[in-house]
Amino acid sequence: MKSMILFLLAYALIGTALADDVQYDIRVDGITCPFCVATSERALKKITGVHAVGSNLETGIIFVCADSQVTFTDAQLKQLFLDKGFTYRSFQKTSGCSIGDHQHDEEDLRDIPKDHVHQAGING
Amino acid sequence: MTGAQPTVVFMYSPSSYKPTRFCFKWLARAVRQGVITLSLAVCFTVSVSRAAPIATNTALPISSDEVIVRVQLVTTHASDHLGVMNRHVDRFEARTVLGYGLTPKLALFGVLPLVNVDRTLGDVNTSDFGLGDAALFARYEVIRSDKPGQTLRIAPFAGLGFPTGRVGQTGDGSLDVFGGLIATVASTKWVLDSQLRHDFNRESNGFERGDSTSFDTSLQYRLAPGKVAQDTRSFVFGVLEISANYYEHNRVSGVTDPNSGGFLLYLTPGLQYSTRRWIADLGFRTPIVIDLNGNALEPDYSILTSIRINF
Repeated sequence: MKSMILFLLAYALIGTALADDVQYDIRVDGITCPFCVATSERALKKITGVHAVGSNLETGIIFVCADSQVTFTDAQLKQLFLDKGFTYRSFQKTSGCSIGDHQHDEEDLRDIPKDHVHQAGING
Repeated sequence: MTGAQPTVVFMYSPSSYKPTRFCFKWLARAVRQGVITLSLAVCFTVSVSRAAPIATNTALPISSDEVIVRVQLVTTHASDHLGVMNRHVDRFEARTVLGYGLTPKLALFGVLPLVNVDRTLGDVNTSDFGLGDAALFARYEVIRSDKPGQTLRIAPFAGLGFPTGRVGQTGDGSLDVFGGLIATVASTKWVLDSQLRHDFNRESNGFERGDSTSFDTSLQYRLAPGKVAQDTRSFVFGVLEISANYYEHNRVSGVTDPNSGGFLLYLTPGLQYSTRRWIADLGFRTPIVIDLNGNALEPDYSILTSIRINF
């Protein structure tokens, strides 16, 4: 019984923590290989509050899992990826974090309602 | 034949097939001593330094304020028979290339080679080891067109070759100028790099290596994994490179050397393993068209390996 209570408590705490996380799916064009994306991922990981960073090279999406307090802007991301030699297009912000079981592709992006996609306004 | 021994000199130096002052000195000595029946200065080198895919360059970016280090090991073998005499040259070069992203468009590169050359002419063996000629160059991106998982980059480059090697042994003593244009089209499935380069070689102590022009193209095709997913951490590429090189005649004290210059076409198949932190590659380079002037020593093959790390 005691272990059951502990398990439920831990589950609730983890659930609360996950609920506080947000995920940014950032579309970046021009990244074509694992070696190319590495510096961008490292720059994002250095941002305070960012827990994890992943990417799908085929779709050009970089996934960032961060505290809900972390806020990205178009200007910030545009400059970050410009410095890395790539072209930032847009980002989508969602509650919770699912890096690891996300498998975006081009159709996923097309299916995202426009009001959920924060367009950068730079030929995105 | 007048009964004298032939004088044949082999010399590798850090650019392609360039006779150096070492050759010139031997040739001059042979002339002074009047012992020439066949006085031939063959100075021989293979350029393998032009960086990124395996032996070609790339226009893909170096991030601002990021450093990439590449260490390339190149073994080159050349041999033939000149009359009854066996000629044989083995050159080993450990080349360190440091790339730094000054801005997102402008990257600076420094190249420092360490060279060992073993030469055999009949029963005579010589060997030289030391620092080769260093180079500094800048590359500036003028065109960029990015799409999801695709890019097109065009970047001119220009630089200087410095006489840091021992003159006539591991270097040629002249301050040289080079420049060109690189174009890269890349996707997650394949990468195509092309480079046009011209070397303006300057005179030093009476010797002027002929200018050279090269056109290199490298195709890298992803062999594994078959499909790219979110957890894909590395690529394996099959690589095929072709390199056309034209060399003008050298001049010694203002006189054209007939045994210098010519045309070479190389083919380099290879493999490349690319991860997020490092890239390793291996290539086997062999000439498929050899049209050198006079009695120049012809190359047999080169083996190229390298590792690149980003910091």
